[in-house]
Amino acid sequence: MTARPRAARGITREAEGPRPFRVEPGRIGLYLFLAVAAAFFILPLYVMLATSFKSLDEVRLAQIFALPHTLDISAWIAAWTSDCEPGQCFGISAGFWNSVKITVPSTAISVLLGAFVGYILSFWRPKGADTLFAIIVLAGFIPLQVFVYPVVRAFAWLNLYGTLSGIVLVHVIFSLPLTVLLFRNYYAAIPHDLFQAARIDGAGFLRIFWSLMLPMTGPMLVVAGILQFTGIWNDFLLGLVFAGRENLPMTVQLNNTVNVTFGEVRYNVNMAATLLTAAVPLAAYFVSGRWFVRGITAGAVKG
Amino acid sequence: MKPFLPTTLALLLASGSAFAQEIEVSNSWVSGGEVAGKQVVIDALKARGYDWVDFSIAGYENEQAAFMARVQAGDPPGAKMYIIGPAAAELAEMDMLVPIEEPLAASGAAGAIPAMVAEKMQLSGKPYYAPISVHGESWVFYSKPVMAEIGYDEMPSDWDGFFAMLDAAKEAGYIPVAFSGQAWQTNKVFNQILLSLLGREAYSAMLSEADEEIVMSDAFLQAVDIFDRLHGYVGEGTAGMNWNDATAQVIRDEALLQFQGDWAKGEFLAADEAAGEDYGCAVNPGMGDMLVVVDSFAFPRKEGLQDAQYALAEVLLDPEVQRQFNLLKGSFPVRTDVDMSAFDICAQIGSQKMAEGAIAADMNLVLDRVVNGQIVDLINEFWAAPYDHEDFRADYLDALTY
Amino acid sequence: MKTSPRNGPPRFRHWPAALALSPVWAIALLLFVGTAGYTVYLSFTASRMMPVNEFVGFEHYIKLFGTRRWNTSLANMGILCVTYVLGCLVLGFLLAAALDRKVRFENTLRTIFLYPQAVSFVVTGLVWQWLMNPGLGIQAAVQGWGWESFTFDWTQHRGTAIYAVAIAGLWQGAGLTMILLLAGLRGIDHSLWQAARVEGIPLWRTYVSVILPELTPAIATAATLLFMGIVRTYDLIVAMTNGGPGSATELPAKFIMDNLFDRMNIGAATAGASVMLISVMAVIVPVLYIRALRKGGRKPV
Repeated sequence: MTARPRAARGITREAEGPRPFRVEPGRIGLYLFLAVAAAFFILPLYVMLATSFKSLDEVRLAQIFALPHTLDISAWIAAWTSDCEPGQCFGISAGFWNSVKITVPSTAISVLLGAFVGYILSFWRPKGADTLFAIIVLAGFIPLQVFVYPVVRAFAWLNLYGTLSGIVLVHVIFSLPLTVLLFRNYYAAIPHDLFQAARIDGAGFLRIFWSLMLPMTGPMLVVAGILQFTGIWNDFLLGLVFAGRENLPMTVQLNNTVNVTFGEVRYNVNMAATLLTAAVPLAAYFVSGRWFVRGITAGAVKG
Repeated sequence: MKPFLPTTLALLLASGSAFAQEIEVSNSWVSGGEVAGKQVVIDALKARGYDWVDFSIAGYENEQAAFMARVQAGDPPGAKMYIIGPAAAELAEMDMLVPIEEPLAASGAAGAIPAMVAEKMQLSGKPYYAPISVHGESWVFYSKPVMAEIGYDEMPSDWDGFFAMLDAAKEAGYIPVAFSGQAWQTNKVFNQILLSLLGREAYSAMLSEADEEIVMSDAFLQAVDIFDRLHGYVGEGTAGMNWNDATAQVIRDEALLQFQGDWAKGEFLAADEAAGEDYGCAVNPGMGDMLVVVDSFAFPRKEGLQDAQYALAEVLLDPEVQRQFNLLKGSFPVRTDVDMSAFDICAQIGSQKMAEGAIAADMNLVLDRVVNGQIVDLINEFWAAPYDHEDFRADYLDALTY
Repeated sequence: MKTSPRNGPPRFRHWPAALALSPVWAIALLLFVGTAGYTVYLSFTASRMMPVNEFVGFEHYIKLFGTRRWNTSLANMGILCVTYVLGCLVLGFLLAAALDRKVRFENTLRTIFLYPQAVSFVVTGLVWQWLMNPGLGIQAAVQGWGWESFTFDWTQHRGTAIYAVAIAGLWQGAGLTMILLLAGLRGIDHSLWQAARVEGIPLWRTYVSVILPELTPAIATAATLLFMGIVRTYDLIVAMTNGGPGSATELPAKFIMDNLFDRMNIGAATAGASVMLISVMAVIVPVLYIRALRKGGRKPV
């Protein structure tokens, strides 16, 4: 057994999925495929990392694959702290806590709300449920920019414009197409009998959601959490328009660093700033692996 | 804990000057020289007892999106950066901007501003924009070592001579023209050629009056020929290339020259190259008129903010502020009565051209954004896949009257 | 509500659900439908920088379809719907299936395949532009290794540039598909695998005829998200090709965004958005409707 230790992390031992076929050529082909794929994915990251450690003179040589002559970390420092704005001199670190303050509540609320709505649409199906679902999914196909002016007016009228609660609400609203789609389709795969049985046992509307459905939603909660966290963390337009000057997210600083029209372009700082901005979602991906295990649904639903 | 510094600082400043009025300024000055120049304005404004609250967003469309959202919400900032011309016309028509007759008079700038700028800073008969700097756009920046290598010591004064020089560069194994295929860059190169053949009067008349006769002239066709001819002289992989990557080819002495605006000086400066020594700047071959773009600020109407807005307008129009600002930003002052001795040779040439009236407004200063966009699209289509020049001319006329 | 679900009128049984759903209805109607309606309304007005109420009829639509750039961007969307969506689904499925076969370093590999999601497009688009620049990137490197005749200059030609964008998009979007399908795979009942093994079905057939059908909901979700991505793609194009050469890589979202904020032509932007909205509705609404009729609506989109 090649990768036995993994099982220790699983919740249920019997639900381990495909048996590893021990045909050696197959395993070699498998790893070969993964290696080639990984190389394709890593290539741009390599260029970014190499560039970020170069001096500007070296960058100007335009040899993108060349390793830096020396490990020059000044671009990383400049990206994080010393990019200057009048009255403040911080680089992207200035927006870091704002991004945290926006992303954490927006992600938590939107994922839970998505699961809840998905649960209702999938199991309870009150009158008009399909119409509502159609509207929500369709909204996902409208370019966000189109919403900006009307929603700005509505939020100004509600005194929510330019506030932290305002931007969180905006994210939750515009996340609905993604989260509802994810969870409704996920629940669509869960047998209806299970739900009927719970109702016959007398479980109520909220109880079925909280004690039965939510615990079975493990992998999808992780996936939705990851996607939402990434999307909101990387959002630029909504943060720029709705958050207000006090709450501007990190991406606004990132844009000010990398999006240069007339000024001199510092590619090394741009790369470092981009990677620094991405560090938190990247860490989240890595950590989320702990929960990304097999077996929760399988055992509970069909076992 | 660095992130807490600005709050502390702001508190200190607020308590120190309890009555200093704040004015929030929307702008897209974020890179090195721009920020340094901005600081000059901020300090001068502070000396008058007003605080500049900075709202800077890189990229015109991003800044515009944030600004328009603020307008929709009924809470615009106190000032916004604009290029003079029709950009803010709709706001002025809706009476959402404050005209600046008073500070304009107080600054004494009226007599020192060139006629073209004085005209374009007005909307429906009143001055609304306070201009601070001029960028010359129709420069040719060239590598002095490459130029010497191919046996030239100055830029030829006509296009035939120019192409002969490009041939020599090609012969010697250099990229004759460092070209970047960004849409706005391609557009500027075409306009640069067009201006040199039409001359400033015909060029400006063609744009502002959508003059069919001028578009149908031989000179226009000749400009298209020259533009198309450049295809044979540009480097590899120009599509989508950033302009500064093309400038780097000149800096590395791989390419002979680049058509570019004076912001390119920032790249040379960052590479420790000096104007007139390592690289040269020449005005286009041909007529020698200069295409310019003018940065300014306009002031959205807001309760109780007029004093601060007037103060900012006066600061922007102040000759010493303009001098220091433009020295740092690489452009040159709008006012022609500013001492230019500290400026580099390119800025001096530009300023002198302006004083002589040998300037023409960039199409952004003349056409509304929609027509502007049509022309940019068209020129880039043509550059990507050249077709019959007379057909192109007809398409150009369509775009101009869109 | 302790009544047996089999008794009582359906409407009654569902009141807590309906109540809980009412704020979502409010958002959907006021914001989504309302904004969509307002967008369609504005597309018939002369709105430029600010919304105005002056009607111009179908003028914006006539101009829209007379514009080469808009027509190209629609065609490009069609190309991406095939290349990008199919590519992401195939690569995403292969990656998910491979990771699901108990490989070493699964966590690291999964993070590698997913990281493009986390990194801002503004800069990765630029890196792809470099990589695909013949004088700078892959072509120059491969030629440098001695394969002199190797060319890879798709971004430089109008006919091929959109496929270069599709490659960068594949790099960006395959991770999303992978993680959705991986979650789906992890939810597949162990007994299915065992049954297939007991009956001696070859591995590839197990995947094709047992596993893939089980993954249908996850695939549907992924495909829908990828389509949404195309309709909204803006940053990648701006950073990588900025729509060029010419208008060869323009997409509708970029056209809309440009007209909305840069060109100050709300009328044209909303006309473009309306066309998009109507085309998407034309595809999705019948699908939903047929499913609702046939299967009682519990099937995924």
